[in-house]
Amino acid sequence: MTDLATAAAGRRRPLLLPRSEQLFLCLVLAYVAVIGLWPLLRLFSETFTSVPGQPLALLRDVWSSRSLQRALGNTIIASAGATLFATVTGSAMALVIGVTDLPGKSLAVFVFLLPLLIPPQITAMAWTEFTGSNSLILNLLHLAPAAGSTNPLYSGYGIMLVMGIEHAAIVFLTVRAGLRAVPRDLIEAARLAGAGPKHITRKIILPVLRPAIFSGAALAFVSAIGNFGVPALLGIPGRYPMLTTLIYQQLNGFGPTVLGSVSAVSLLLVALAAIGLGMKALLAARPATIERGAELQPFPLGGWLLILLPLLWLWLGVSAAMPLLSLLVTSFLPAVGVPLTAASATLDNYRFVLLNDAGTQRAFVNSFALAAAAGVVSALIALPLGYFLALRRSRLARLIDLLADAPYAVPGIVLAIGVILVFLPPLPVLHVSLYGTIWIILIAYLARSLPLALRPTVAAFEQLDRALDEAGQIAGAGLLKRMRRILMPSVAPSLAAGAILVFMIAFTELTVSALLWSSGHETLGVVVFMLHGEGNTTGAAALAVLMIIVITGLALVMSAVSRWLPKGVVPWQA
Amino acid sequence: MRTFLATFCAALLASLTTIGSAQAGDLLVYTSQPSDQMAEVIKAFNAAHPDIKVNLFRSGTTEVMNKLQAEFAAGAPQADVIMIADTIAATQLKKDGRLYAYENAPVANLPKALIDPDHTFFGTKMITTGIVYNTNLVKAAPTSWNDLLTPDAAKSVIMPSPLYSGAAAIHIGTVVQDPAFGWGYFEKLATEGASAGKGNGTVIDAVARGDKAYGIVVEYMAYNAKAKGSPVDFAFPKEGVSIVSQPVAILKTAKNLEAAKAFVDWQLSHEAQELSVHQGYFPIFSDMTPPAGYPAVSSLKLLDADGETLLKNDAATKKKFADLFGG
Amino acid sequence: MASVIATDLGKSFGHHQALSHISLVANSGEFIALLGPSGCGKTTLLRLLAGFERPDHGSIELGEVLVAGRGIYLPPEKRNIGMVFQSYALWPHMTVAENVGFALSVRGTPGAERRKRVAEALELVGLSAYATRRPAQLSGGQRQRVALARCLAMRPPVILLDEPLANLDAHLRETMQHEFRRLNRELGSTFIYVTHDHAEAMSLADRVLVMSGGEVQQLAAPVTLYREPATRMVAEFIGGSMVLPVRLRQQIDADYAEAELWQQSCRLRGTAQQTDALACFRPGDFELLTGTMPTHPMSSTAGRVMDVIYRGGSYLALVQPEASDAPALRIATETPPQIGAPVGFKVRDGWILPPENLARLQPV
Repeated sequence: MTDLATAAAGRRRPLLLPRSEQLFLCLVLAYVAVIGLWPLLRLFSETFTSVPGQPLALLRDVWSSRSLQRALGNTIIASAGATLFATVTGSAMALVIGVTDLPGKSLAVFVFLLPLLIPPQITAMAWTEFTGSNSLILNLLHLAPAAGSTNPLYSGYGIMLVMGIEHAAIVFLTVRAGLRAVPRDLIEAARLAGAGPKHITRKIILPVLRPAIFSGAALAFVSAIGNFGVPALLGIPGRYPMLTTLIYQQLNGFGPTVLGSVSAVSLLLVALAAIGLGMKALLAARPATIERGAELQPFPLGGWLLILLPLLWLWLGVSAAMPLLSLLVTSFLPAVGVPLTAASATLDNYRFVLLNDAGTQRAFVNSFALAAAAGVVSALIALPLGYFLALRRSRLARLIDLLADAPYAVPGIVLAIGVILVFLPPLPVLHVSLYGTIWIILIAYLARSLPLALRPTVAAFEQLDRALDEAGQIAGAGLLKRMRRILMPSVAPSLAAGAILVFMIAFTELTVSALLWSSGHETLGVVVFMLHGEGNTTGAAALAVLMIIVITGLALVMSAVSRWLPKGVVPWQA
Repeated sequence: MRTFLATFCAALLASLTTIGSAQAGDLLVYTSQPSDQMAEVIKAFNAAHPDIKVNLFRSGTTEVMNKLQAEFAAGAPQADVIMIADTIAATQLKKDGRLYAYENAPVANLPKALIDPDHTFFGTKMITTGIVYNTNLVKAAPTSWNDLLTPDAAKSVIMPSPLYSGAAAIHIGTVVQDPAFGWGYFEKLATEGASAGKGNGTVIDAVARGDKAYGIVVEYMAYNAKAKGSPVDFAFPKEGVSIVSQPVAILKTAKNLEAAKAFVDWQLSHEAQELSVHQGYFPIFSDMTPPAGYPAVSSLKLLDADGETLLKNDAATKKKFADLFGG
Repeated sequence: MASVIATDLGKSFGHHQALSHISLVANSGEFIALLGPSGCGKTTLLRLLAGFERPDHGSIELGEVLVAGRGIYLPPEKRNIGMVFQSYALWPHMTVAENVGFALSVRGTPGAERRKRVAEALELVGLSAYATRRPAQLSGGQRQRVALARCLAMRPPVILLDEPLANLDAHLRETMQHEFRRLNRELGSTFIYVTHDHAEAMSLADRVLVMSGGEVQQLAAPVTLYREPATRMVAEFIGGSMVLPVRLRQQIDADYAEAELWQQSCRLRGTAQQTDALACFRPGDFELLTGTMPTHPMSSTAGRVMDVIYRGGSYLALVQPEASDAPALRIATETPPQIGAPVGFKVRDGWILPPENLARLQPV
């Protein structure tokens, strides 16, 4: 073995953990198990035990029902279409950003990634406004569909389009990270041999990127099958049922009596997700250590700039900016269907949402408190877990990491049902049921937040010299002391970034809280959904706009502090 | 950081107080009436009863029912009073023995149709379901339910789904019971391309937006949208409309019985009905003036509906509807 | 008192046996170098002593305390040793003073005492003026010294050093080598120093443990290693010897034996245990004969000059012996011969390598 290899291998071999540290990890394992795994296991046990003596009877009944087969078929088709769309656009964007010298990259990436920050239901709402027959923008362009015709988005294709645009961001991030792993010398050697940029992209970059592209596609697929907001807003009116809306609808229509059959459908969703994740594991290794080496030198675009730049911004404009603009327009309307003029524009919706509706004000406080708590707690758990994963390469930590991914990969609705099943009866010692309180929402949020907070933390730890921790050990500091005085300060920016990411997602989320909220404990996502469901679309639009402003503000804060963060933590930092 | 902790602790304490029994003078109401209207209701109620604090859970009828059922299953029902869209759900609760029989309720002037024979629930509204249409797209107002069946009309019809809306469940159950219509009516609509939204809100949204020309919806939503400026209008088909009475009921397990009774009394009073008219609902007393632009209560033709039959066929109705309209 | 006792240590990673049967006794205050090529296991041994790895078998005692082996395992934080890392491992978010004083603050040393010890440590390495700087503001050599000061503040009985000078340029390296020697003598701490540079090990250490392939080759003082290498590996690793096959005739006295190299008679140091053996020769052990003096094969060997290399003061002549296909010999000479000229050379000295199975010298 060469010196370098020995040193590298020695620095990252799994280290034995003394008993106290193993105990620490076991506590983390317990946390993950209680909030994430137990609800899922309970859900599946419900499936197999609801008909006593016949574990598979329920599954048989459910899987043979026509509505389920239709929903399953739709889910697979729509998700596959959305994934294809997302993979092509996301990879193309990653290549354009990563390989060329296009100006204005940061802004372009930010706009491209906006769908990641904006909750799916708001995206769907915005798109419906954009493509409806009384869309202001489309009418200005004389492109509006005929009045009285169904909104073209209310269809399988509409779902594919909106989900595809939404999930392109995920593919982009994965492929972008993969690009960073392309060694610069490979490209330089090719250039010396006389290869031009197109040749190099085709022959060298794309093959190296293949695992990352597949990984991104798998992630996009898993997100698509678990997406609730888009199918709820586009699929229901379009008579295009999908598995997530089927679950929601069954619970709505038939009550908790169907928890068993809903569990069976959830099992199906989980199976699909597992296939997706399995393919990801098979086809694409986890992105390797982010190289500290030199960045890829971008290829100069030359004359192609005149074609590519306008095309890019046209696409960004249509796919991201226009729908949001339409949403903004709707928020100023007194009622749906009224054309926007200087006379008709009103601030009533904002007034209602901010001042008059006690429910919305409560929801702001609730969502803020929940999201903040989820962010802080997840960061605190991510710190030791990331440490054990990256610096100590503990096998137990890797197991915990895998288990922690489960509640995140599983669709939010499925997790919510599991959480209800587990926490509906009173807790053992305290004799208090968490159902109907704000705590049950927090538990579900925590279960979904850990992987989000873990990724930047692990990235930061991977870049850390293990010797910094070992020097602390030599100096006599035990784990807790090292965590506090050496490790946390070293990865603090990434921890904060993880916490903020969690906050941004939890602040606006709908899928989980749709089933878990209760009187006084509404979240913002739920309020938007309810306003929309009550017919108060203009109010819903106003609230959605406010939420977007908050999220964008936070994103700008993250951008501002991004130079203290390891590369890749702030997704849109080009 | 400190303010966050303070807020968090406050939220924690606030939520802790909702666990466990309500304080004296607190009333927990589960309802499917829209939240902005409930805000006004609570305000008006408190003008008459300032010492009773009303807490609210508002969602679609089926979601409210799910919540109730889950709480019953856990043995810990929280609500004192429920006020949901339809009698089907109320009848079910009565059959399950969950409701309190309020014998001395002030029902003297109430129409018979709104009073449960066992005095466990009382109608507080007369909400009718008819046809809303977009005035930009439709020049001649529809006069009959069958006007929706023409191929041109049907593909631009949207109706609420009984899986999300109690009013829709009643409407569809009522129409199906009528020999002039039956399931054939809905099967034809489905074949011709009509679609089902979620609740009534999605229907009014689609028609006002111009995505659909016609919608089957509760009247107050259509009139309210029209008043705000949406290009819509409402028609009462000549064969008759279905009625949703939004019954109010007291749960047997109510923690604050006196406050609950006060709430029910108030709902059945003229003051409450004045507020209802103001909110765009028909009053339940025939001697009161309906909202502007509404026909007189006495002129309404109502489709007959048998409560027990509605209840018996409820699950089957929902399932068949789901099968017809894509679930 | 023995400061470090390692007994029969073994460690493998998966299928790779990194260490086998390593034993070492270091006396208090000694400077021991662990020397060997990459992959020989010296860093693994150091990490076992530090406690970052656990031995598969064998035991380690530090002072009188058993820290590993026989079912016991003391983690690094409890071993009271100092370590200087190859990358220095200074904590970037702390000042120099905070870095140096960290171990003391972990132990709860009161503030005044801690500040005093930090000042002393910084003065020992000559960095008193830099107490409030951050590592990012220091040069490589300065960081090196802060890493050292961090060890010194703890006043540990044993200090481990993992190739600490590998990242410094040659001039700085020499200065720091003097520093290490000085501190070792002044403090009386035992130094265990890992390096792959034999010149460094020879100039710094009291004794050197030469390792290869996870095993001990020789543990001896530098002079002994140079003059009497125990194995071929040691001979070739240190001082660039040439190892050549010789025929041994007889033992002349306790120290010398008569031998034959390519028919040339010579007198070599060592013991003749068998007829065919290997002997190690340094460039200075040969004498170059130029000119046309007639020679007898038994008193000198003929060869041809292939190349001449200037060594700053003297020359190395690369001579290809005619008698054999052995690689060219490196012969030291004051006057450079002509390239291509026929020359002769005489053997003046050499060391007979012990037979391989007796190669392991016992620790003294």
